[in-house]
Amino acid sequence: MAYWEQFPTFILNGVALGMIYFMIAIGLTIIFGMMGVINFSHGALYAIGAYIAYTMTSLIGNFWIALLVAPAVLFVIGVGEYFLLRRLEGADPVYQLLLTFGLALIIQELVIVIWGTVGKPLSIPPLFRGMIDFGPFTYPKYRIFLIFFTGVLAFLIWLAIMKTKLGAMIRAGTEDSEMVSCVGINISRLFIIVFGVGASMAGVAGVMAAPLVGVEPFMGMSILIISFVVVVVGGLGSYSGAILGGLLIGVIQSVFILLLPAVAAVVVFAFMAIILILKPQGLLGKS
Amino acid sequence: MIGKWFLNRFSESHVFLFSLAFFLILPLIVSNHFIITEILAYAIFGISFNLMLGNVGLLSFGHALYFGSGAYTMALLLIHLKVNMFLGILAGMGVAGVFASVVGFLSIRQYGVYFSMLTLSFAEMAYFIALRLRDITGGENGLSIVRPPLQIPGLFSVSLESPLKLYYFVFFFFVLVLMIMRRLVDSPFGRVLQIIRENETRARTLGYNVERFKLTAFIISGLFSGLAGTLYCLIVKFVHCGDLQWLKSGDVVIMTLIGGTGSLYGPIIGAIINTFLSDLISLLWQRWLLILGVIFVTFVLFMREGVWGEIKKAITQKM
Repeated sequence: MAYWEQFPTFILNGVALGMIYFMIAIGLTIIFGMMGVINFSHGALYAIGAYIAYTMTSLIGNFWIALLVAPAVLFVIGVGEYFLLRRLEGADPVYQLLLTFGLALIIQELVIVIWGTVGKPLSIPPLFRGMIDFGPFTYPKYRIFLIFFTGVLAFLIWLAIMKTKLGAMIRAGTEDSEMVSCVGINISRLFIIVFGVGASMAGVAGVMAAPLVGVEPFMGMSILIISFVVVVVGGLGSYSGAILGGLLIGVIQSVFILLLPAVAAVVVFAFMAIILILKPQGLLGKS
Repeated sequence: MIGKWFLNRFSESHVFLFSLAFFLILPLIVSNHFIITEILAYAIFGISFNLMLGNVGLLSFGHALYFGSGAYTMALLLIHLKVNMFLGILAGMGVAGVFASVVGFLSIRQYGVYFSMLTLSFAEMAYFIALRLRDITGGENGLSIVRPPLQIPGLFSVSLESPLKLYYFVFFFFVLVLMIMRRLVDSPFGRVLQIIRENETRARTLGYNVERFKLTAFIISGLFSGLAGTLYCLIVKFVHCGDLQWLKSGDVVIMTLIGGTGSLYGPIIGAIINTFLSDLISLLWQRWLLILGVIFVTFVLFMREGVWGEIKKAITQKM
């Protein structure tokens, strides 16, 4: 069957997609864990990353610079967001969500003012054009690179969270941030780092995705909603939940594009509904 | 002095009567009847939405689903079955209510921001489906309808093509919704919602089935958002997938917050501000959403009680 020949390709596509989702979900999930905020502007940060990739490629002709510029720019934006959010300390958490929504709207409109409404394609960097032959099937080099690169990043984040002192503080912060500040840890410095790094990750995801999906101003909101599905499925607040959820959703989406394209856009939401009924805290979330 | 005099003599029912009188004579003051009719439809939407945010304290970020499904039901029934307008309104509310029950059932157990995230996701799913079913929904191009006359067969038939008649037709529903919501908020049911908002644990301890109360409120909110959608469809004679999209949900969130979540009248003020702003600024600059976003963020940071709350504060401080 032609289906089975295409299967590995679509699984790999799903993994690549899932790693992009993971990169966004990890920021969402850790920020939620520590501050109880869902950052609605996280998708817009991803869009900024993608537009930085577009600008670097079309202006300087070098895609790779974007991988340095985007995280730096987004780190600053993320920290800025944190300082705005801090003004709402003590208010109902709903207002923090509303603030991030307002910021998402502003960023999206600014993107349109700067780059225009029309989406633009972005070519794959010359270094990774072409296919790799795996015998029974071939696969684009760039996607292999994407999986490898984001995989390494995911591993580094895991190391940082699980094996460093800073990571231990962050993990403690997601359990009980008040307690953490009681034992004398500067919690607001921790928040700055988490917000900045979370935003950088979203930016890197945007840079990496841009050559595959191009850029358009509304890309942020679409990816944000899928990222919500990812964190709900994986379990809000957990690292392993973000990676499991990301890969699951990516693979499901991609496999359904092969098997039943008509429902591919919807199937992940149905999956989320099932998870909500059977395991409301998510696959790896704590109840 | 003035404030004290004001507070002593003016109760909520005065505000209620004042807003009725205001909208009753508004067409005499504002010549653009289309805009003020639109305001009424958005006001109904905002009031229904605020039943959740203001009274239960839950922020639904997917109310476009109920608004849009109401509008689509109306449009599809008019196009394919040429039904009576009242039947279209009832059906639109019904469909919105069904959607609200399903989404509510799946999300209502979740707290705070988690609830917002889920309602947004489910609404966006509906948007994706509608976008795919282009043959039925018309996709981004939408569907145009012919506005039917207001009629009860054998009794009367009035054309609604005159902007003034259409305004008072929508005004009728506005008054109806305002009266129902006033009654609801003041009813034992509304009081229980307040207990849940203020202290959910206590509400549980008192023996209230918190989930059922929340879900009921959510469905009512969905029903009336559906009503707003059907009316909106009759006003603009058009419906498209954008009516189901997050931006529409965001619209009602923004106008309710700017107006003020603390009372029934906040969303009405919000609807006035939002509609005028979008109609006026969009003539000058296409990216008016940027300005609206900045205004919104300013309100979130510095005036969380909204315009209504600021007015109230100003009056009380003068005492």
